[in-house]
Amino acid sequence: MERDNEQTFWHKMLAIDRRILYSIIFVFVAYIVLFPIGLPVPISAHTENFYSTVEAIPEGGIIWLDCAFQEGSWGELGPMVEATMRHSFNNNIRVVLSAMWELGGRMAAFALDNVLEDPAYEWVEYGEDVINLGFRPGGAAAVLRGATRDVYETYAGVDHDGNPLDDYTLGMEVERLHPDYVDFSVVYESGSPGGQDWLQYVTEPTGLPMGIGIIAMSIPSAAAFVDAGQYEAMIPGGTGAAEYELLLDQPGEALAAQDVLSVGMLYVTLLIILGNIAWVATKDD
Amino acid sequence: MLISTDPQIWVGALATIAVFSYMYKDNPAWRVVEHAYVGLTAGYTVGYQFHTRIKPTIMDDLIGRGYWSYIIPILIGLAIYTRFSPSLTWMARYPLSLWVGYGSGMVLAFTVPPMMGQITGTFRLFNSFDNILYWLCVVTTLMYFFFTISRENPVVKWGAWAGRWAIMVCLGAMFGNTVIYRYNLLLMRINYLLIDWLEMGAL
Repeated sequence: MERDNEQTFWHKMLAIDRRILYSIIFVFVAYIVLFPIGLPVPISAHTENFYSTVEAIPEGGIIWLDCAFQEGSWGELGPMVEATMRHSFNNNIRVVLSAMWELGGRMAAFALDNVLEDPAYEWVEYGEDVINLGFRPGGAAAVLRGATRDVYETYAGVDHDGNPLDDYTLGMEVERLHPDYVDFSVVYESGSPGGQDWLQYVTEPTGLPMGIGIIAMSIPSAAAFVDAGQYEAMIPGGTGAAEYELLLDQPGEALAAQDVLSVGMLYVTLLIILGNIAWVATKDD
Repeated sequence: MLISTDPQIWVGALATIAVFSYMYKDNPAWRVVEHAYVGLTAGYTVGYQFHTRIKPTIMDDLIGRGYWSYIIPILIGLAIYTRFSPSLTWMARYPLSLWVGYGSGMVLAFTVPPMMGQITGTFRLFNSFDNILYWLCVVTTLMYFFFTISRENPVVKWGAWAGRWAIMVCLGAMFGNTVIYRYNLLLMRINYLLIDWLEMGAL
């Protein structure tokens, strides 16, 4: 009789209504958004390495950031772009923004606006310290190969908003997407085209070192390129963005999300353990 | 508790709630938003493609900068539409042939170096546990995909067995990271509802 009851309990566990599980997630997330816990965020070796790589760029140097994503990945990649820009401006490194994705140009502009809203970066001058080249049609391969030869021609002589590059010092200074003009490049990727295209058409042919900011889902595949030394550094997912914000001592959107992710993962782990126990307990029935 | 007075935020919030309502069950609110989303996406994509691809090429490059040679690829590209006319359909083969040739050329010229980097990245000194494990995972995973040697061979059998575990560990890591990514999406929406719409903010 006791065994029957036990089996009934595990059967009920396996047949639990998904709406109950969704509701619990929703309540958890909403509660933590309103009442942050402030769980600790340890810094991973990948983020530490990325931070050191940007730190090693000489003052007055140029970093090229490409936004290969759109709104759906903003939660993870947006804070990374902002953190990299803040880090660069803190060290007087100039920033060139571009986009392999059509909506990436807007993402870059949005991130730049967010950073420039901060009074600490009032001194940053568009065209002098930062420029957004945006998206160019023609396919990532053709645009990237073109940019390695002539940035002005490839981007039709205009920036993201259609303003002439001739009006901007930085726009005219970066003649080529090449180590002669750029010190380091980073691709923020949520799919294709992305880091691998940059590796093929920019880094391998020119030797321009690259880093990657990647959505959590793609960390295992990007890690293989970091291990092989093809990507010099990586910001791994939203957690990596939070670690970067911590390293900069400039908490932002990503750090605020960490409580939710930690508790959420704990919840999923618990469900997986319970699900497995229930499956083992009922598999002979 | 305040609430936003911005109509745009109200539309976004109501659409979000309607999408979430599908988790309870299929309902008219969800279907309205689903259809609106598909229509808006199609319209937006056409508009955005026009403004980011077609217009810059024709207005900025062709007319503005006098790149008249662009007319040739444009005409070749337009030939793809001759597929709608049975007597002219042969012309559609030219843009396709060019595209396949261009693609093959690009792949052959630029794909090999990154792949070589991946291969040479597995050549490691056996001077640490990490390196040995890495090498074993690569070799056993490749053995899992040996289909021409019988699994009765004990080396292949046990190698493939270990490779299967390596693949499962990798898939497990991918699953865990996918969950994190999905949580980020959920968090963005809940932030939108609580902070942008209801203006609650962190308490």
